[in-house]
Amino acid sequence: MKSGKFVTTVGFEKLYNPALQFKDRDAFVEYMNEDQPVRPANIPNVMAINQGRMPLTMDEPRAPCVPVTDVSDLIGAGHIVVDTRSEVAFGSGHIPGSYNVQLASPEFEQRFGWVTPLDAPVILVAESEPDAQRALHALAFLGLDARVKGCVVDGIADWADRDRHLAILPQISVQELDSRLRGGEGMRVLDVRETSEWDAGHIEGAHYLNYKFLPEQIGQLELDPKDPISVVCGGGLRSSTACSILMQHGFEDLHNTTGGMTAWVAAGLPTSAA
Amino acid sequence: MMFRAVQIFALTRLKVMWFEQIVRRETGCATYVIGSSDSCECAVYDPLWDIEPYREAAAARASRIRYVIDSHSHADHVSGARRLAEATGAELVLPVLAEITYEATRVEGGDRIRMGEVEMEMVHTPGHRPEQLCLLITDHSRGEEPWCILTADFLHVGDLARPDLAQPGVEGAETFFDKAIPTLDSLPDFVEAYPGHVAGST
Repeated sequence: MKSGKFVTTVGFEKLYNPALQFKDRDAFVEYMNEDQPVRPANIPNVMAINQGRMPLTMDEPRAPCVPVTDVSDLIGAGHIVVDTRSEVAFGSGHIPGSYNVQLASPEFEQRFGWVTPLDAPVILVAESEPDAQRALHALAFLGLDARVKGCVVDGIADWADRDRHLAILPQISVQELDSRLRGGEGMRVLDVRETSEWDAGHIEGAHYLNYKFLPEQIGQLELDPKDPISVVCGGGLRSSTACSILMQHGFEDLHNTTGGMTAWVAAGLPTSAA
Repeated sequence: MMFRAVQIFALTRLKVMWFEQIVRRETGCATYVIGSSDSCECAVYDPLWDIEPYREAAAARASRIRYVIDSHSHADHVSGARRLAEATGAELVLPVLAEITYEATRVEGGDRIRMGEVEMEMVHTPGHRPEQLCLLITDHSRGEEPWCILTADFLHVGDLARPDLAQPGVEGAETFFDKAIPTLDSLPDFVEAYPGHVAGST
């Protein structure tokens, strides 16, 4: 339960905390184990660090700056690329196959932990060197910093040399999405938010899969990689993360919905609840 | 009357405990600094990896960080306890049941740590993790009854911590019911409770 309060009293909780109202032990045990969110995959690693079985980063983590021209060799050697820039910057050009997890997102390091494979060495793409350092600092809270082997901070334009191209991710406004849904062109919608957000209201006919589970459950999507798909979340950040994963799996006609459901609702467009 | 007011002011300035809740808003992790203005020492409870906020809180009160206490081996974030202890020379304190490979002073339910007017009693509240210790705090400059309890990953505002994060959930919930909740029930209603998470899922 998310509470807006940072302190309580023992007496108030005895009276009003739902979990403290049980007389029956079995009913309590059932209550405590229903609807718990899926556990993040890196929990065993965090526990191992805190118990001393894996190394703890004692000093501020560092990773060397690497020229973007080295990145294709690093990818060839098993590195993954995580682009920490905004969804807009990612949309207008990124290294093909990279993940987009925005440093500016409210849960940067958690999202990084959810969507990237735990054992792969990482190259970060950042807007600037201070941003790369901020990203490493945030990752240290979850013990993910040691996976970062290098940072690209001087822009990615040089990637386009030597017959390579930058990948793009088109952005779509909610008004345009609405009109294309009405136009009968076969535009699909994939909503990647939490179930509580989906239940509170979503676009009629949308498909649903939490972005956190995309890497494992992508095969369960009833969507064709050739379909035109607009991906939507709350504000346009998680959907860009989701699109970056879908692109890795061969989805060809993706659109990131600018402003997400916040913009959709603000534009007065209709939703249906669970 | 004037004299009395001055006297109380002097007494208060000398001895009353201080307390700071430090929340990392990105994750809702709540951590605590408990200080004695009598002994100019403080204890940090459940510090996160970035230890600067605790050093700043101690420096602002011209206090030495004497104890760094981890309530349990956290599963959802990296503890800053060892970093903080190393950086400040503070004593690292962990539950006797914590399965750790490094050196620390081990404490269990009923153990007390005293800094001037401040007394901190370890309260064993298993369920989220078998080793978890809450901190029941008494400020002897104000009264002999405890004033607050730091409930870490046991009691949250309007909820309990997950029993299934770092152990089997049925076993965890049964332990909450059998051990931790009766302990909570034994405390006076007026005791303030400060959780280890103020938002989020653990």
